[in-house]
Amino acid sequence: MKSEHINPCIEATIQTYKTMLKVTPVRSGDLAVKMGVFDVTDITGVIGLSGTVKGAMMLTMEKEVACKTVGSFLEKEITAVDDEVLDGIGEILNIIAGAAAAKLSGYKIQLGLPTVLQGKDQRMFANIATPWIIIPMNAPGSGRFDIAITMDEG
Amino acid sequence: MDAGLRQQVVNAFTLAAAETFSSMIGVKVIRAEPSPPLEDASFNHLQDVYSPSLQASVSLRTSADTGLVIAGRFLGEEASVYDPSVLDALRELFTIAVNAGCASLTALKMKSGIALSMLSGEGLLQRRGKDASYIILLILEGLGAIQLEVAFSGTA
Repeated sequence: MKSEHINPCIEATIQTYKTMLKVTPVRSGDLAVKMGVFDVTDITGVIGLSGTVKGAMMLTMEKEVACKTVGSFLEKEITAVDDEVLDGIGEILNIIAGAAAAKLSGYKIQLGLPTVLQGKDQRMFANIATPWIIIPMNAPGSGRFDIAITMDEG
Repeated sequence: MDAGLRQQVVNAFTLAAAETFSSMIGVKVIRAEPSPPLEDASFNHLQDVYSPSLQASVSLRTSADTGLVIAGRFLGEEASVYDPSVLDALRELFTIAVNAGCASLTALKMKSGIALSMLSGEGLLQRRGKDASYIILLILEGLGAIQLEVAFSGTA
C-alpha cells in the first residue's frame, strides 16, 4: 500500500458523489490505518481488487446515512434499509472502485462483485499483509461515511 | 456464461467444502441442498474467484455458535469467544475450502482473491445485487450448518 493509492480513491469518491448524487463530499477527519480485526459500521459494502494487485475497497456508513445516500442517488425518500438500499450502496461502491481503478495508473485492476453486508457491531478482517487505509468523508445532505482501501502489489 | 458451467462451478465449490471439512475437522457433510439465505448467520467469509472466462464470488456463512464449534475443532481446543485465534482459524479453514474449489476447476485456471471475513453481533444480512447467485446449505453432522453462496458476475 502506497500513499499514491490514496488520492485516486478520494478523487473517485468525490467524482462519483458529484456525478451520481449531485453533492460534493469532503474529507471529515484524519486518515486511519487499520490491520487485523477492526470495527465497521452497520452497512458495509466491499469489493475485491485483483489483476496486478490483490486487495479490496470498502464503503461503510450508518443505516440512516445509507438511506439518505441511496435516496439521493435514486431521487426518492427512503426511511428504512431494504434490498434497494443495499443494492444502491453496492452500486455506488462499484462506481467508485471502477473510477479509482482507472485512476491508479500503472496497474491492471479487475473489480470483483460488490457485496453489501448489514449487521450490528460488525467486525472486519482480511488475510492481507498490507493495512487498510480508512478515509473519513462527509457528504452534504446524507452524512458521514468512510471509504477504505487495502492493496498489495505482491 | 451458460447455466451448465455455473452449476459445474457451484458443484466444485460444494464438493471442495465438504472434503475440506471432512479432512480438516473430521466432520461429514451429510446433506447439501439449495436453500434460502441463513437467517442467523453471524460469521461471513467472502472471497472472489476468477479465471480468464468467468468471475464469481464465494461466501461461506454460519451462525455464531456453529462457527465457534468449527473453529474449536480446527484448533483442537474449545473455542468460546471470537478472539483473533478463532477468527484466524475460521478464515484459514474457509480459505482452504475456497482454494480447493479453485484447484479442482483445472480447465478454468481459477484463482482466488483476498479473503474478507465479517462478524456481526446480530444477524448478518448479505446482499449481492441482481447477479446470478446459487445458495447451498451444507449440513455438518452433529455441528450445524454452513451456507455456501456462489455469485456470478452478470458480465462474466
